[in-house]
Amino acid sequence: MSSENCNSNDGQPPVIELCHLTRHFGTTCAVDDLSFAVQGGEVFGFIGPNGAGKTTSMRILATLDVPTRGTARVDGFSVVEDPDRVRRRLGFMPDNYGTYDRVNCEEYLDFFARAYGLRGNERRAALRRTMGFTQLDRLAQKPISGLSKGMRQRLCLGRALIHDPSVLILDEPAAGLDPRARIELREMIGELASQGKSLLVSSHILTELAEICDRVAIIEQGRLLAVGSVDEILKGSAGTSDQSSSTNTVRLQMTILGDLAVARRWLAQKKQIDLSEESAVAAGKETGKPDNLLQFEFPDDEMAQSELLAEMIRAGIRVSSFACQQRSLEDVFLSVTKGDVQ
Amino acid sequence: MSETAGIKSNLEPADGPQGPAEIDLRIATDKTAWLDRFGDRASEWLSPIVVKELRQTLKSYQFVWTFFLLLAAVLLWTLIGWTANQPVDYYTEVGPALLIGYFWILGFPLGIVIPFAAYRSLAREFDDGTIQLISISTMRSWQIVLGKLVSSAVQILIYLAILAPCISFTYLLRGISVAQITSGLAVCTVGSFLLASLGLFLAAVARSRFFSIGISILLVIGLTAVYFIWCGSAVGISYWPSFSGNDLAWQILLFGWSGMAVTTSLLLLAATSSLISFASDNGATLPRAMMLVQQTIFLAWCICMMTLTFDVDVLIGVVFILSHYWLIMGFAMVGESAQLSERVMRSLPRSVGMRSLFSLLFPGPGRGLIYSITNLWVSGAILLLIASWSQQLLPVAEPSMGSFSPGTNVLGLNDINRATQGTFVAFLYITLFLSLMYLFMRWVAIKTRWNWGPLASVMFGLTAVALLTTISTVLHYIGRPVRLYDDFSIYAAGNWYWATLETAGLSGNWTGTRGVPLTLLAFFACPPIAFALLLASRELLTRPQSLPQRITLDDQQIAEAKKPPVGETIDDIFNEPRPGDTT
Repeated sequence: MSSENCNSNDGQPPVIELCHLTRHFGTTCAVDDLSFAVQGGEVFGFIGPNGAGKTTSMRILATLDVPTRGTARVDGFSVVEDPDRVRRRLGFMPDNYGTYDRVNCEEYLDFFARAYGLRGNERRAALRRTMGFTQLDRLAQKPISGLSKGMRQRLCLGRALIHDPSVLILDEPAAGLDPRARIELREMIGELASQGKSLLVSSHILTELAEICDRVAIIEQGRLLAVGSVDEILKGSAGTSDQSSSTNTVRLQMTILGDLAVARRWLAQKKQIDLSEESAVAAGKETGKPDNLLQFEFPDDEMAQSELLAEMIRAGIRVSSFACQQRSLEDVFLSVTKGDVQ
Repeated sequence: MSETAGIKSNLEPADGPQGPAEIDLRIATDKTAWLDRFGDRASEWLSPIVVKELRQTLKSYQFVWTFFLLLAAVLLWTLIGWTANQPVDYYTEVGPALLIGYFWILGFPLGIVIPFAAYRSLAREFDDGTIQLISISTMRSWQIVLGKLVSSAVQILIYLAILAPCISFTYLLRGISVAQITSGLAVCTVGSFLLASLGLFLAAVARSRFFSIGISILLVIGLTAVYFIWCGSAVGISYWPSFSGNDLAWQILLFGWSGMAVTTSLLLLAATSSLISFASDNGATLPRAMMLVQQTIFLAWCICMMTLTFDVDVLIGVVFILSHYWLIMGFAMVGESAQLSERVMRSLPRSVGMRSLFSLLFPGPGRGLIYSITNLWVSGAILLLIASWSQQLLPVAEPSMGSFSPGTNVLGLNDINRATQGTFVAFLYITLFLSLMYLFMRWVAIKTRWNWGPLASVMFGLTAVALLTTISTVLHYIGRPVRLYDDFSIYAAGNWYWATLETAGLSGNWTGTRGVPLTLLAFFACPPIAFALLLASRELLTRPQSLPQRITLDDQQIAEAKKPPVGETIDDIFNEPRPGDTT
């Protein structure tokens, strides 16, 4: 299948494009027919449980691996057939640091500046710019082995930025960082996005992704489960590249006075309500939910919600509180994924 | 100011409003570090890997310890040698005795430390994952490998510099010629390059930490063995009685050694580069070109030998060397992927003429099969032609054990026929093995949907040939009581060494117990060879692909970016009207 009809777009060619990307390792299918696109200047979140295929997809995009089937393009260039052109445009920060012994921060960045073909004043300017941006200029002469985890992460971000790429792929950049380092990293990502760079970021810290990402993709077992803006994902209107769901839902929370079992039975008769979802959500989160609290997914329609409340009251069910709660990205993640690993 | 706002204020890009000059960096402002600045500018044209490796190596304990231990050993040996030879050094030649010690001392860092350090250097890149970070930069894989070797070369130079004054001192003690000293140093240095290249190659083969440990142990054992061989050779070099630089036999030996060591080193580097290159890269052309260079130098060396003196045993020996060489290289090449990447297809020569000349240097098992078979037979033909030529030109001498008399020919016409027969049979076997392996690897690739790669192909192939040779020999000896003779039989036809030697001794008798199995072999070998070559030749029909529009556009943009701004080109500057111009 050609890449043109793989990811629909508004005429602007995507900066990153995955089209039916598949990667097998023996009998294991790490990435299964994955398709999505990232537009220029966009911060794109990549979410999935461990072993979902995020790192494999990112490694393919970073020209470290090749797909079994499908194509991946960066700025219109195939990562398999034109890796040199992709590498000039792309900065990759893997989840492991990849640092050298007996080398200080300045020497480390200097080495990669040279490795990207920067020479003379251009190299020195790139060094100054990167060390200034990552605030490593004060630690220029410090050996890498003496850096804290947060500083190492900055150094690795600096390495990915040294040749001023237009596309950045960050694999778990916030993993293992303390809250302050995470905030700083988030600010840096925001700054890079404001410079017009496109970013593909994977993370387990979903609240952060929700704050910084324009769009998000959720994958599990190598398959794309949902893709769309954070709002679309939260409302449940996001779909995969092949199909989209049209059901916008919110979570309803109500406190029942009296017999909870009667209320459950009554609610179970309603078509729109799936109480098994309620137990799934509860099992996934330690909410400390009181015994007389019911929560379940319900259409995001105020008329339908008020109608439900009125019907419950007419049916003699005593409702002491009734609230509509927007879902968080974590909730969506837990409801969409099954937690299976390959 | 809030915490977030404070962070934000620090995140202004360096070339923001304040400009890059405000960032305080040592290389930019520290006026006392003139040496650093000089080094920084001087290193501008060096490979990044060399700069990084030297920064790491010169700070490493391994280098510091080796450096000072070497200094101490040299000093100690000089003192011992000088005092032990007092007062005889005034009237006897004691240079060789001291030189041996210096060669032994030099052999340790050059033969063990540097090759092992080269191995560890690349192995650690794999262990730490840094090889991935380098490979996604714009550096080519051969630049990475060459950079590692050049940093080894710098270490070799440093260690040689330590010993240079002492080795020069031995010349003053008489009994040593300049040719001896330079030959010894050349052998040692070239050997160190070869071993360092081998270390890099093994690191690329090992990849995983598990294999890396096993190969580390084997490498240390192997290097130690090589070191002891070097110690023995150092005695030979220092005490070579007639050696004065004009000895023809020594010159040929030195040429052979240096040529083979340098080309093997280059071949190993090319193979290492190929192993660490990206999947769609052309990892075949460089190793194949190196094979061609190596074969050419080897043939040149053989021709040197043959034009001086000739013996049928030497020719058969050369045939065996060539057979083994192309057997291994051919097995490696038929294990390549049959799928040419689009970017390799773009780089195929455009014209039919160029394609027919250079297509065999491109990747693919079929091209590899044809390339190895062509090289094998062409080199054999050249050898036999030269042998025939030297047989006609050189005066015939009586063969004698260990004779090496320049300008003589111990081959008779009958010997040329025997050598031709032996060469034909040996090469027929190799062609058959390669063809069968090609067919097998294609079958395996189709069945398993997986390309097993050159290393697996070499392992499979060599194991199969060794098994065939062993089983065939065992069968022959099991059947011996029935046949009541020890001669070559149909059972021994699987042993290609024996078959080659038997044919070389046939003297034109192609009937009976010797000739019949070999005639049968030739008959049965032809169909699989023809089938394999037919399949393989389909790869030669591949046509080059045109560049995609996106790439053409990108090339144009790059060219535009490189152009100087309007008004600043050379033409603009020269054509700029000057005040006195009338037009």
